[in-house]
Amino acid sequence: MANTTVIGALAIHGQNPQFLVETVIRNRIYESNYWKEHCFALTAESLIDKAIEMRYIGGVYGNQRPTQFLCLVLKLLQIQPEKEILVEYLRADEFKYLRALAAFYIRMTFRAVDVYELLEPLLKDYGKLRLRDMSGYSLTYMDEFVYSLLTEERVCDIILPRLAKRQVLEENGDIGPRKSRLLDALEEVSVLPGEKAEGGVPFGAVERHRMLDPDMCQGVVRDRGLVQDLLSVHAVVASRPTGWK
Amino acid sequence: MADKSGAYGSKASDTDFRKTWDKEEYAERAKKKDQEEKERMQENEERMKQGKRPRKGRRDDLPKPTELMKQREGPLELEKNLGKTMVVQNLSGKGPGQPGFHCETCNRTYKDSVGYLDHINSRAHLRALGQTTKLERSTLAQVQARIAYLREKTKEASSAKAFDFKQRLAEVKAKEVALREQRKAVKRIEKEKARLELIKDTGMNEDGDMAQLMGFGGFGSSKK
Repeated sequence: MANTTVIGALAIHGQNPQFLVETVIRNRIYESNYWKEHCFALTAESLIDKAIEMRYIGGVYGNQRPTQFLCLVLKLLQIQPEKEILVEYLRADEFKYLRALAAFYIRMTFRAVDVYELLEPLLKDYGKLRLRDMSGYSLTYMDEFVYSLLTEERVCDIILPRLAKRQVLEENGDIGPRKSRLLDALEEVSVLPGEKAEGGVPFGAVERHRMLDPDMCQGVVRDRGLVQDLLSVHAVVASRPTGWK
Repeated sequence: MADKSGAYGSKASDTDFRKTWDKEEYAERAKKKDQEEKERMQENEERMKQGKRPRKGRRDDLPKPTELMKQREGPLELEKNLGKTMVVQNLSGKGPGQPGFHCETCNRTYKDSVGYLDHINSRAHLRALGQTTKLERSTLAQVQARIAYLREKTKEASSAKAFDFKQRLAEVKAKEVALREQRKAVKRIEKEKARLELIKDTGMNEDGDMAQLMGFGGFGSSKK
């Protein structure tokens, strides 16, 4: 039927995958015209067309109407495509809304290790995204969106499943330490001792270096990945005060 | 009075305006219905013995669905007739031509788009179309092919939009110059023609006047 989960779908986080969207919003989606008219019998292949036609992301707007983004998320939960297909969605970098959709689905359904491994590369994507919520449209960026997926517990009006902290996973040895682009750049600097430290740091990172305080970083520095990089650099500097110049 | 006739001699009794029923036909129908019901009950009894759910309505004799659930081809155009005033063609109350949305496959009319949408997504409608409610699973290769195709398509669309501004300006200029040249040529030809005409006219007129004066004009007959 139109609203049932596909037969043979695996339970995610111990339940029907569609239940990851709360009942109220889920019923709103089932009632919405977009769901009935355009999302009927979508497959992982034909869903791409609909995802490309999307013009904004977001949860519910206006009179608690679900966005197309939310409808397609529920559709993905319903048809449960294979992991390779989701990775393929993520790799299509020119279709940013498809990418955002895949990122959201991955965050909702995959294991924590996979989530970190698949989503952290997206922190380098600075593409603009239009966000629609109760208060209207606003502008956000792919890296901000992914950062909020990794750190917040409620994105696009959906409670995300709990995600193990990266630090815990690192201590257990499930994933390696995060590869930081900034650290590479800093290492290049340390190779050239004659030059000033500012010379080799890209992207105006020095400007941002002054705002290392994470509270100050909130809302000032747009580049979430870089903020994390900077914080980790800070830690490195603190641990090796003599070796690093 | 012995015979029951009215004041005007008609034999109609009090209740003759009522519809008369073909009792035999209806008795036949009722019998048939009872027979069907009896069969259904027997079948249900069999099913109950096998531990299955009893059937509620009549069994419709549709062939088994063969296809998987498919996406609709083409848009539904639910808002096609929005804001239009239309004449209702069919006054019988059934079939197409009624106000609302009509499903041809199931021959049902819905008064609003929501009901109609619910119907065309329903199991019964899919069954009538010969589709099951199972969905086809697309493979990785299909997805890759689709993405590659869409990539090409969007590339084409974007390249059609992006053009070289200078080249376009040059093209427009060349077109304008060509147009001007053409107009000039047309004007020149017209002028030339007018000039020739003038010369011819004046020449002819002079000739005519002189001939008139001299007493002979033209080659026509002199008869009046």
